[in-house]
Amino acid sequence: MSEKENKLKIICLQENIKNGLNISERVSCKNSNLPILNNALIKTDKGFLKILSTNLEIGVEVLIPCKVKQQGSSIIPIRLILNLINNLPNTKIQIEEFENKLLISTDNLKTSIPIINKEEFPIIPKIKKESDIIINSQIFKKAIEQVLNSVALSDLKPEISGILFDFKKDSLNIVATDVFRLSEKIILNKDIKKIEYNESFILPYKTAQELVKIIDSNNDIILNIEDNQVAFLYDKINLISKIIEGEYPNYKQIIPKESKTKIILNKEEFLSKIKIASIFSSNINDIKLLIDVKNQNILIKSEDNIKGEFSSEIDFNKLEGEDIKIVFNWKYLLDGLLNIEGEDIVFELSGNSSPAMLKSKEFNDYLYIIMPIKQ
Amino acid sequence: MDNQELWQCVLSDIELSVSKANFNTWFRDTAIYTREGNAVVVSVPSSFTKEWLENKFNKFILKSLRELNSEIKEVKFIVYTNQENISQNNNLITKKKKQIFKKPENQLQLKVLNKDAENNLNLKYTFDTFVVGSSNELAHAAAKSVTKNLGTIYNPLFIYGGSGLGKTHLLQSIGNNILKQDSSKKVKYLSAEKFSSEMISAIQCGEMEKFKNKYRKIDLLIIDDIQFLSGKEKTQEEFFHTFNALYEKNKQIIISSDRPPKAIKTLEDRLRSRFEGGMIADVSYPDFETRLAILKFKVASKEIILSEDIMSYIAENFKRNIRELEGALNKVIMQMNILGDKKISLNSVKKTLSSESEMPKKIINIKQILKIVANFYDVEEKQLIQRIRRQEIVRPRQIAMFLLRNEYKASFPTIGSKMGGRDHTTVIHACEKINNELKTNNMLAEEINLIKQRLYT
Repeated sequence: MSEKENKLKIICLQENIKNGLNISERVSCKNSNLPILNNALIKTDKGFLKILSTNLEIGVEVLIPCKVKQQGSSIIPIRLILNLINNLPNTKIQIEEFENKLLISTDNLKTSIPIINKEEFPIIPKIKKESDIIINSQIFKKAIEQVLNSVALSDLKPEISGILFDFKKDSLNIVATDVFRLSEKIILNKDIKKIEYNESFILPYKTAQELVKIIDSNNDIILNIEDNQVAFLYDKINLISKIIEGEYPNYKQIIPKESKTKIILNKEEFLSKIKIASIFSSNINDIKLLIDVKNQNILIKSEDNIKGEFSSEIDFNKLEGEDIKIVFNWKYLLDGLLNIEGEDIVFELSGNSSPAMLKSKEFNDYLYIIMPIKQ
Repeated sequence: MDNQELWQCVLSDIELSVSKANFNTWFRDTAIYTREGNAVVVSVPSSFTKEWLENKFNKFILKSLRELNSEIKEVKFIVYTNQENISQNNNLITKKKKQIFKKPENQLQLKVLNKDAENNLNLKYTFDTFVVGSSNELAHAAAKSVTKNLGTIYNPLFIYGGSGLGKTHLLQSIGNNILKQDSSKKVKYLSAEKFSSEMISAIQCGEMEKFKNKYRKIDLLIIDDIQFLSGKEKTQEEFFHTFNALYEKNKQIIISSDRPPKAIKTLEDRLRSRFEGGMIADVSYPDFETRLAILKFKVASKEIILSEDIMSYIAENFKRNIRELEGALNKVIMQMNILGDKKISLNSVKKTLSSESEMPKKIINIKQILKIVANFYDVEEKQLIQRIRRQEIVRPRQIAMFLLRNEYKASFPTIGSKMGGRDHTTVIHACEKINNELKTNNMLAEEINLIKQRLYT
């Protein structure tokens, strides 16, 4: 960079820069062998300040409003600046590059930070295409939230360590699984504002998590998909993420087509009983359900050598089919129930070693499949 | 210079002039994808890398390439990852982690594994990857002909031999081959232990009928390690019925064990006679040539280059089973990865493997030999030494002498004195007799092999 280049000088509000840096902080990586990644590049962009950060898997650009006194760019250590700014009141903050130092000041406070070489900062790739998908961000966020807890957190099978977005002829199927349970959310195409994409991609868990945190308004979110990356444009935030390579397993085949036992019950009732049973479950998180169709009775039981035993009846609206005794991991049951909307749920079982299915009685756009624990 | 070498030279050049962190971050998993006339296309793992190399290292890479090949005028970058490499790496990771974590029991049946849940066959085992030598010729030929005449010629096929000699490989190859010919065939591979535990849970749940039906609809039943049925009477009985049901319908049954049917203790006679009614083939210790052939095969399939003398050394020193042989080879490959191909020499290989090749070599002594021989033939140790001339004692005694001579390398007079003060000519006679008989009597050879196996494990 030449000496003659303008030095950056801006004034912006504490709150704005704090919000922007919070996003950058989450994306930037903490213990990389490339220390430059702990920094963010800041750049003036017309009437805005653009903050860029990346961990080389996700890259994010946040635009925050500010008063540009002099165009330019600089580089800041994210966590240091964030610690500083978090402790300031919501006032005007001036940021200025001056003689290889970055000066950050308010009316009555001054700091100066040495500047490292910004040439080292990675270039965040751009996606050149027009928008592929436009969707209401709240619908999008809710869908991700409903499947997020089913994603496999280990990297053993990379293809299931992310969320599948499968664009079908008339719907978008969003799927996550860790082989013990599986969530499938369906968004009908009529609820999507623009679709010009009909393939599928696997979004890394961390990106999905970040999107959920970023989305806080009712605005639209725009998706651009390329071979190996996907970009999300939302408000003043542009997020680029790599896509997980590999083929998502054929999950449709494990969705049970029919069931032997069918229960309709109140979600809150079920949730509260599971929570109590969980207190007495052993270290493998097992709780047992004893379903007796003839006597129209459902018992929930848990026991542990040290903690003791628990059993309770569960109220339900309807019970039909075969008797069954089945053991579940209560955490997985709880996760599924919390993902389901509506008051009443349908719980379908097919024997004590086959996957069971949970869904809402009212809404049929979401289902949760859970594998019982072998007895 | 091919693309790979060319890129290697460029990388070595760049490595000198950028920091290690930078080099690792930006140049890992890069390669020359293709060359189109004057342009070189470099594949990179992510778009971040692409941007960075395009904007920051373009000139540098071009300069470096031009120094090696002045015809090159242009460098382009594409994002491309070699799926094969990735999946291979993943497999490695998976394997490693599986050993650490106990695999949870119940999972959704997502079909991403190599192993087919329906028949338990692992697709990596095929005849193509089975190295045939004199030690396993018969078993291999029998297995091959079974795949051509399922259920009709050798039924049951009984394969036995020590662990790590390729029984499972052979068994699974048959299954895979049959499925390849006709995917509608019902093939089931399982270990005797699994069969037994499935049966127990069927009894517990009162689903015995279901269990019976399941096994009686199979076209090819492969049971591995049948010796584990020994002592489990109820399982044996159930297996007997299953066996008969399949046998009557001319369905193929293949069984493996670590010893011949005769030598499996507490195996019911009716089962034993059935096993002996088909074809019995053994897999014995591979000879040096076979071991070398196996090594060469493995080395070729891993696409590495290993010098002849190193391979001979490994083959020479790891005799007991093929798993060990593979382990030794893997260790050498590991060392190659760490040190780089060029630094590997016979001496360094010897050093790496020394701990392994020496440790398990059990030191044998006279007492042990006598004890094991006596045990094997079910006679008392002291009877071997006493002057008893009954046939059932004389034979074991001669074998003991033979082993003392050949395995322990004791002198004839020493053996004589240890065996109850016999003359050294008696010992010489015994050794010669066994030696001669070995040439014609296969049973004897087998017995001696089994004894040796016990001696060394």
